[in-house]
Amino acid sequence: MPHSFFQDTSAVGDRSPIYQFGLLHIGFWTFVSIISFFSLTLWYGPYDWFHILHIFLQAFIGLGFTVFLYWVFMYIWDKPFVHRASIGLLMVLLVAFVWTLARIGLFMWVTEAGSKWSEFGGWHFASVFIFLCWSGLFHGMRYNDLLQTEHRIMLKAEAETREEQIKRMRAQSIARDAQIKMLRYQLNPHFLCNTLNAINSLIEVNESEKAQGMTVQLSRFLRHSLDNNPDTKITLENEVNALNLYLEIEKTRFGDRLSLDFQIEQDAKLATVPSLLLQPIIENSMKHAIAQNESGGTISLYAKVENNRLIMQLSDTGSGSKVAHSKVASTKGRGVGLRNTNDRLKALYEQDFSISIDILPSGGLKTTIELPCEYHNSDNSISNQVRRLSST
Amino acid sequence: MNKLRTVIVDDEPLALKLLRAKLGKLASIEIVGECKNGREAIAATLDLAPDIIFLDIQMPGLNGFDVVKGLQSDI
Repeated sequence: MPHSFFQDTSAVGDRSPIYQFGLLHIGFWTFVSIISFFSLTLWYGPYDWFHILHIFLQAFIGLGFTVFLYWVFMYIWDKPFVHRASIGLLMVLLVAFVWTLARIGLFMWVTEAGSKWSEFGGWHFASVFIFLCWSGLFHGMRYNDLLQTEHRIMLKAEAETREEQIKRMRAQSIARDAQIKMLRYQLNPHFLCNTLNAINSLIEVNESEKAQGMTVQLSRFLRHSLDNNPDTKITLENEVNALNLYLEIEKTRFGDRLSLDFQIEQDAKLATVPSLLLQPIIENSMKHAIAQNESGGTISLYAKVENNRLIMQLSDTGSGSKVAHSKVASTKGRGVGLRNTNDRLKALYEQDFSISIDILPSGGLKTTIELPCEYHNSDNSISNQVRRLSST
Repeated sequence: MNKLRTVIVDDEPLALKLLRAKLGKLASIEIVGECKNGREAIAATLDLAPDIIFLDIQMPGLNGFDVVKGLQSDI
């Protein structure tokens, strides 16, 4: 397809056609005219308006020829070199010949001088060089622009690759961090140590049944942690069962200082949550509220489904001795746990979740987590249950 | 032989129970008081004037060090 001068914006780099036209045609012909004026007109004769008019007119015609040459060069641009060189040279010679005819005729007409046809060779010689010059300018500009564009593309690709690499490295490090944190959560050495001490105490005071019960609870809790990867989702019901294992163990240690208030709506029970999502938050409550309060306290969990969102509220009754006045004071020591939970939810739900903390009048802390309500595609799913119910 | 009058202090009931069982086996010890927190410990110490106090350090409210400080200023 032939290239149209004004439409082909991609022809020479990404410079505008007006810029190309200006430099390649108008600029060139202005330059030729000035040289012509100073070297020929002024040199050979007195100051003459007809000569200036002739220079202007021949440049105007020449401009038409270079526009034509541009079109030809663009047309043969993608052809093999020999093809381009021969056609290009032929066109330059042809255009130079026609232009020479035109400007000699024009000169004789404008200046009313006698026949100049005998000087054709000299005029033609100059013409050939002028159009060769223009061809040189065209190719110089075009190759320069191609080179610049190529360079720009290369730099851009390089920057993109680097950015991609940084992104990948960051993602990998986040994933690794999360994994390490999760492993810590799955098997908190502090919790394990306390529990084993408690079991030892129970054996010591001859409460072997309680010791046995606690051992079984610990074993089941550890089994649950091992069976579920940090990125697997389990039903909230299962999550609460695991929490209960953990809390029963803590209850043995804290006795009546720990009370629980769990209210989970039926449809929320079947919704899925990341495994052991709530355990670190409850562990925080144990550490910062129940264990710090002489008279103990209550850990509450309310869960419901609203507008296809699973809403979970976890709260404690605070440390009692000092009522926290600010979020900073109240979340002191819990920041890492909350940040981990936030990171983990971000990895699993991207932006489609929310986690917020509030201070209760009691000085306790309330953590609210909102997730998209998802169900397992198993027999446990609501739709299957409804189907089963309606079919019977 | 006079038994050593002892007060035991721990916020965890199970730990208290363990301490009671361990000390109970010793013939020279008589447990005269059991406390669940620092305030109770100070009150029991002033009230009972025991020979020995087994004091947990990590407790809610007044911890073990607070109890010692409180007793020093009271004596």
